[in-house]
Amino acid sequence: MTKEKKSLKKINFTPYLMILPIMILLSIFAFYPIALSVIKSLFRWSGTFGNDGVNTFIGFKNFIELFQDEIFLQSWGNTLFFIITGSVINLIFPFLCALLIFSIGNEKISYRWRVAFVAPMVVPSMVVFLLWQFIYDVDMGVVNNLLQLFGANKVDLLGNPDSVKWAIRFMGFPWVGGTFLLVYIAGLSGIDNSLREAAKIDGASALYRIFAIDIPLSKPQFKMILTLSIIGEIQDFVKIQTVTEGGPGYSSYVPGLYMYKVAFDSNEYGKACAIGVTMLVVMLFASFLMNVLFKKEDID
Amino acid sequence: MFNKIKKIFAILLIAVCFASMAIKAVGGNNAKQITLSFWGTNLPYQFALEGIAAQYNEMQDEYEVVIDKQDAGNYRIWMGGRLAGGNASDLLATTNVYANTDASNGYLYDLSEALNQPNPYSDSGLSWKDDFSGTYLTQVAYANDTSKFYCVPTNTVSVRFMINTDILEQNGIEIPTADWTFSDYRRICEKLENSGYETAMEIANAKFINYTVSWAIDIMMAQLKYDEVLGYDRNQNGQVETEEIVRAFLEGEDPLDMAKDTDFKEVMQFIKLWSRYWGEGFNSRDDTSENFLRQTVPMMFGGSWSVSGIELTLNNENPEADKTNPYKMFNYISLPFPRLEKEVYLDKDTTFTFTNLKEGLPLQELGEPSGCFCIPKSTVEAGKLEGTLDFLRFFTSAQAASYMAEKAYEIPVIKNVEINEKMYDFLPPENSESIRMRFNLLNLSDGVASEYHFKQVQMYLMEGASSISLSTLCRNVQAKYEEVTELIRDDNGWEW
Repeated sequence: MTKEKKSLKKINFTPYLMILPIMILLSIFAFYPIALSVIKSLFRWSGTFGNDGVNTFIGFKNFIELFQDEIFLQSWGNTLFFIITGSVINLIFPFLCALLIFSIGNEKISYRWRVAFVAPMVVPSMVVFLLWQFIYDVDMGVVNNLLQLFGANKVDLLGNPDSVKWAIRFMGFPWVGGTFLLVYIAGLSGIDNSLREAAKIDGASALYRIFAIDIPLSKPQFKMILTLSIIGEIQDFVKIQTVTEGGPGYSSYVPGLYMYKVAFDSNEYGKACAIGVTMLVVMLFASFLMNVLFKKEDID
Repeated sequence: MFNKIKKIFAILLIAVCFASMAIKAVGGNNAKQITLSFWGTNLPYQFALEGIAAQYNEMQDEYEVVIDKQDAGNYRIWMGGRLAGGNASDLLATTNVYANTDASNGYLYDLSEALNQPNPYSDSGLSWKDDFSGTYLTQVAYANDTSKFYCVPTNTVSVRFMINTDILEQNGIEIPTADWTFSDYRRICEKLENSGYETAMEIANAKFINYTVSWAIDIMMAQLKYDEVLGYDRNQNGQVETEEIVRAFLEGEDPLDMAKDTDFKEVMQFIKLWSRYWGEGFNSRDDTSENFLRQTVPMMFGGSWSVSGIELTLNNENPEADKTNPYKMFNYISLPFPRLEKEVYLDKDTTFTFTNLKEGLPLQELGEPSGCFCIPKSTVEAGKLEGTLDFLRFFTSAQAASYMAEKAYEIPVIKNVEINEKMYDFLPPENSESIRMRFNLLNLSDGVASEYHFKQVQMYLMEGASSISLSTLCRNVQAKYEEVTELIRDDNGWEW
């Protein structure tokens, strides 16, 4: 028996066989569409297979057109705003809330608070968006009714290019519920409590303990949430489609919305694939950047 | 014990899932059942569709029509996926734009031959095609070959000014009639504003400038460019089809140029002046109907599709509901868009002049076909074509059209249909013609391009730093028109 055969015999194939079904499904439903998008981004394609419809190879024309397209560039500018503000919000507010919940000594009460903050997740996001649209409504919205109560003029927060992005960002206030909160609580729970106790004995204040222990040791959570926030902000267009359709003008347009409209309104699936590919590249780059910024040894 | 119950429950649940899948798989191939899928949130329309299906099912026992309502927001994606997968419903609600796209992708059955045959549910003795009034059917002809039809309309939509006549009477304002002018309309607005109404008239869908405002632009442009549009209609069939629009922009020494066109510029300037009175709220909820119903706004400019909601609310005779609802009965009329005049009065300080306007021309506002239905090729492959066609013929009969008008306030597209008084106001007034040409990119089958057009208008109407100038608007619109028309010409290989 050769050495190679011996080493093959040593390999345990069972885990690979067990993971095979999910890999096959992933290949069909995730990897294949990604590969197809990359290929079809080089085509003028009406979304059909076979002989019907348009399916012409045009090289990088879709990409060239996109990078000359003011709307596409403006939509990336808007996305940058949402990435920055969204990341800041997701890094700060759920973490502060997690700290408060974690600091509750009574486990039962702490659990109840966790449930209270996570429970709103069951409300469909569409309902939340429509609710906020009601809140901002010029005639009947709470904001304008309150303003009028104090003698101020009505404001059209979603209809003004200067305020629309901030108004969209403000949706979901106070931004503390949901998955990110649980991630932070899990992270804080994972920190060895003896560190906090030792700091306390050494006379460190609560604020100092947060900055010296909780924040540095929550870096893996910050990394994950920052990465997810960036990816989420690039992908998300549902709330914008629901409340402003990207308007007024293109003030709140984002690449995801553009991709959706190019594909389903104009039937230009090749161009939509090209938009998708640019989004994919940016998301991959952002993930890579996060890995560089939060090096494993730093986290350790 | 509890675990055992849980196990039994789980097994039962799985068994029910599999059983329902098996039943669906077996039942799905039932050639006798015809499924009609549509989207929408309009309950009267849904009930009326179910009523039509029930009438048809009662009339014959060979086929059973089943109504399937789909989610409005995702309908196009759902429909596109089903068509591509070859498992679409037998009869699909669609739009002219969707049908053009789906036909070019080879998904739809061509109805042109069937349309040349008489409709057995019609007494006219004419072909099915000739039972349609005006240009309602020809407007949905296949854009790339107008001899083909991949969908048929079952109703039409139109826009009207809806006016609360009680409020006008209470304020001593004379009720206008269908021949009113824009100056008449503005004087009524002023009187209402002086009586304390903050906004005299609201425009439905003004928030996205994508529908009702585009109608207004079309109606005004039709009046201003009446003679020119006649020239664009080269086959003189009463409408300007895609190829004719493309030719108007690309052919000849003096092609249509929105960047230079005086009429387009004047209409846009006029709209901007008019928009000062619309009330605030770009991107707000569209609460025009709500404000009209609550009588905080005495007039609204909206579509025929608003009527069912208004009627349903005002005619609510449920005493329990009356205790809580904020609406009180009132009378209203629906009038056509007021005519423009050469000198239009907007307010005591502003009069607008339309340089090229010719007065006394026919109104152009017959409306556009809606409620379109198509038959996927998969229906033919499943052997259900005959039944589906038969139902579609029944659906477009005068009997069904009258029922839809009565129950769902739909405007018929078939000749000689008896309709209720409310919808009668929406029928084309005397001395009116269909809109021959829509002056936005909506009719060129490119959703993103038409959205571009509307967003440009939206940016022009805005005030402040983000607003664009009139010349930028016209230049951008023209550039998009050229881009789109050149693409359509090249795709179709048109040479003139």
